[in-house]
Amino acid sequence: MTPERFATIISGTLKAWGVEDQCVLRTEDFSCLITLNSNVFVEIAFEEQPFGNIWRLREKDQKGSVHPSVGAALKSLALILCPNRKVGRVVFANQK
Amino acid sequence: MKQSEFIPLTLITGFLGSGKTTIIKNLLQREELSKTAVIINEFGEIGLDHHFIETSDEDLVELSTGCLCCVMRGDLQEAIARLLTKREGGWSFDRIILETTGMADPAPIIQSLVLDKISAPKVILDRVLVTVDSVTGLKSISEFEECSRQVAFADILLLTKTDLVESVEGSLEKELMHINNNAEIFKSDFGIIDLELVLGEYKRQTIAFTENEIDKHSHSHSHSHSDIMSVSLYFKKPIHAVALTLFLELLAEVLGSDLIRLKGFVYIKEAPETPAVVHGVQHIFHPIEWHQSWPYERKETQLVLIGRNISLPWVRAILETIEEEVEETTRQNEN
Repeated sequence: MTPERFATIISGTLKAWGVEDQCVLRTEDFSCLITLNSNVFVEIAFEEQPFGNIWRLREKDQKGSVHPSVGAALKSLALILCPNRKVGRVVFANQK
Repeated sequence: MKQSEFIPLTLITGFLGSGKTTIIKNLLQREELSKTAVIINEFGEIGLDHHFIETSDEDLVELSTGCLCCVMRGDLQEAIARLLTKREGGWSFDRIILETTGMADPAPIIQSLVLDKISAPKVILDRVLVTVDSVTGLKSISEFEECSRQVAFADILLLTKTDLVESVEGSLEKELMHINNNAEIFKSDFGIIDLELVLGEYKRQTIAFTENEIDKHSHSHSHSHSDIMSVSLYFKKPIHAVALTLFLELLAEVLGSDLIRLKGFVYIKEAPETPAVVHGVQHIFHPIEWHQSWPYERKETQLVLIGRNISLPWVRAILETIEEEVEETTRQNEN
């Protein structure tokens, strides 16, 4: 992970969710404070720990959560920033 | 399953008045397509298109109670089942052409064909031909979401009515490439097309441009007419098979219905000589197939994603991160 890639993941995800324009980002190395419409504050951070890499999420005045993968972290972030967004579930057809 | 147990289906779609019926009418006059069954989906209670196609009634199944993509997925399966019953009864056909309405969204139709588990012999979607009117195409793309989505699903784009314009506007071709840089573009004069476009061996091509060309291309489309676009990902490092699944799941999760189509070859670490062929329509994916050898010189992942709000650097960053996570987990398990 590099700081550039971390920033790309956050900004690209917000773009995909259509909330990029409503968010203010304060990114510093592997941490980003996202402010949505001046009333939702969530911090997302990537950390390298001796036991492996983790993603931390913390809403203002709330206990944070820890996630072992980018997928799990973005899933939790979606619940905070755009809880009503419909998500897709991959289905592999069994055609043969 | 033997190849003869498959019946290829060619899906012909395109916006209202873009010349689908004329092309099918001309195709059916060719001896090589004499054993072709046709399914026509017309919008409205009174279907007209089938009157313009000269073929025996039993070669034709007309669906005229609504748009196939909206309400008639079940009817498509029923129509195919009816054709297969007739085939068992002795009527011989070895190919199906399905014409949709001009307003059809190809996604549910393709998904319906991909998910079909009951028909035997299997009806396999062979290719998607999309007609685009050279005269009005750009306006239709600009004004109608349906038109852009049809272009997004094309394997082959057919510019029709080219006989009516002095030269096809470069801006139309650029717009088509912007939406779907993976489709091949051909021109059709007077509704006549090369038979190879229907019968020829169709190679699931990917990546029409080099990465630099894509960059140039995207810069030249600041005034795009559609918010649907394609991005092409090249990824040199092989990835673990499980990373591919996680990657597809995350794309579906984050992009939702904005991911319209994804196709290409993936360089899998566990099977470096046989690229995995990935082909998804929204969140429904064909079973992953393994190509016998690499279709291009370099071993590398080449994927085309078509949809909205997709950023190429983001797709790359997600794939790199997931692969790193899998690599890390594998290493920890080995220790």
